[in-house]
Amino acid sequence: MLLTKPETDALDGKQGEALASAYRILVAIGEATNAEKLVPIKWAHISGVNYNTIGDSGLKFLEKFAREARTTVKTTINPMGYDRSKPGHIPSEFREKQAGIVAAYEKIGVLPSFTCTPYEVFELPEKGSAVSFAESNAAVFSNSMMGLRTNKESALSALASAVTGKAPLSDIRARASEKPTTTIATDFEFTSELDFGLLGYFVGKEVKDSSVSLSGISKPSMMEAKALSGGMGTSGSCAMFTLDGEAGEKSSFGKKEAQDIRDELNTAEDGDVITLGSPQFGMNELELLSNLVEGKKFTKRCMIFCSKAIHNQATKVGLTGELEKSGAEFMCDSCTCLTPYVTKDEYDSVVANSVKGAYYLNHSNKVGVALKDIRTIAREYTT
Amino acid sequence: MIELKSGIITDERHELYGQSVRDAILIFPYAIGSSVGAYAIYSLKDNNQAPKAMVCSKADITTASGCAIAMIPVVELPAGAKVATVDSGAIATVDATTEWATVKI
Repeated sequence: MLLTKPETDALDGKQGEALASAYRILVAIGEATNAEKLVPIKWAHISGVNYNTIGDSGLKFLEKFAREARTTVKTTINPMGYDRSKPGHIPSEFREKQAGIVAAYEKIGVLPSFTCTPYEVFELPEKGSAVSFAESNAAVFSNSMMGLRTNKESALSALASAVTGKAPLSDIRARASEKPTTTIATDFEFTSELDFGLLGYFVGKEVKDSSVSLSGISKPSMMEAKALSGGMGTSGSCAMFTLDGEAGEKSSFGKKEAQDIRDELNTAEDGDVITLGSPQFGMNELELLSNLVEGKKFTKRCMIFCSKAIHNQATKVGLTGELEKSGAEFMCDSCTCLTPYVTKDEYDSVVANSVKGAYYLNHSNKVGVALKDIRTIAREYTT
Repeated sequence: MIELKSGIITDERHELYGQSVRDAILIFPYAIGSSVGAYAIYSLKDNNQAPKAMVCSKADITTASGCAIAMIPVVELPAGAKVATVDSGAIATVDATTEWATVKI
């Protein structure tokens, strides 16, 4: 990969150890993805904020990095572990470590967005803009629905791009106009957002390229596209979908394939608590849920995960009040994945509407998951 | 999945379940999983449980960025090379000091 003189100097440590390590990351991923050079980006979105995702070593790394490193482009960050206004049973050690991580990111200069859906919270740069998104659902959604250009970044590569303002010109960023080579054809009618999540998870497992063409589904709604992106991001490396179905090589996603994925992720019949989100809920999901549960009460504890920005919007139009009347609790700035609100000591199993949430609840939180779509959850768990 | 404090593989479905990656040369096709996997590689190094080198068919962004910070050499095999033919426990050496690395099994 060709570097400019200032880039080489920074890599050699002439601007400090933090920038040198950032360029070391960019050169490593540039070489891994056969980039010819680095290009400026308009926006970085960083993952690795929840203490459960990066642990003590991650905290230590960030504290050291934050001594020198500062963002040079707009930088937003993923959800943290918990809602600071609802500490509940979260251990004090977790809260202290989480505060350390947040302080380090803020020192580096990020916007304290705590969201995994930056595309529905922030104003977007013009179509075709190069960005660097580490959150996988955000990368897939922004490439496919918003016309932005990002590779499926890692927590560290997006951090390196945040402080250098650059990313390698490779993969999706370099070849977004190239058509995908595989089509996944769907041959049954989808009945909920969960079907889109299952399709996404199937695509991630099946397609090793960075993009895929889908056929047999109509243009997904915001809620459906979020579920599809979340599923795709969880199981593979594919970072973009198109809806033209024109790619040559075909593979089919029928009822059997959907059921196989469901059998893999659905590990319980029922749950002790409901978690909604992953991706975090936006206005669409909140409006739908509010209509479904109007005048009713949840029969189990129900946690809704969303960003503070969405919570503020929803409060202005009365949505949060309506949902709280039904007994739902809002856990702002956090999400289902690796949430410390769900521990094996407290719960055997969880009801979740998200394929991505189900995967991480099962693999990381080690609890069973009953996977159901929003309408089914509202029907079965309210009176 | 690896327990980061001990370096032991905890995924029961994995053929190397129960073994430690410490000081090993990890040979694998490519990485899958979350964007925070890069921190997992760094954590292994920080906990003195890291592999000595990684050899893969396709170096991905998570592996490359995690190893760049953890100072673990990554070797990408030429296209078409088969990794499945290496037995677990075989003695391997990696010399990654030049552009063309040498892997001896």
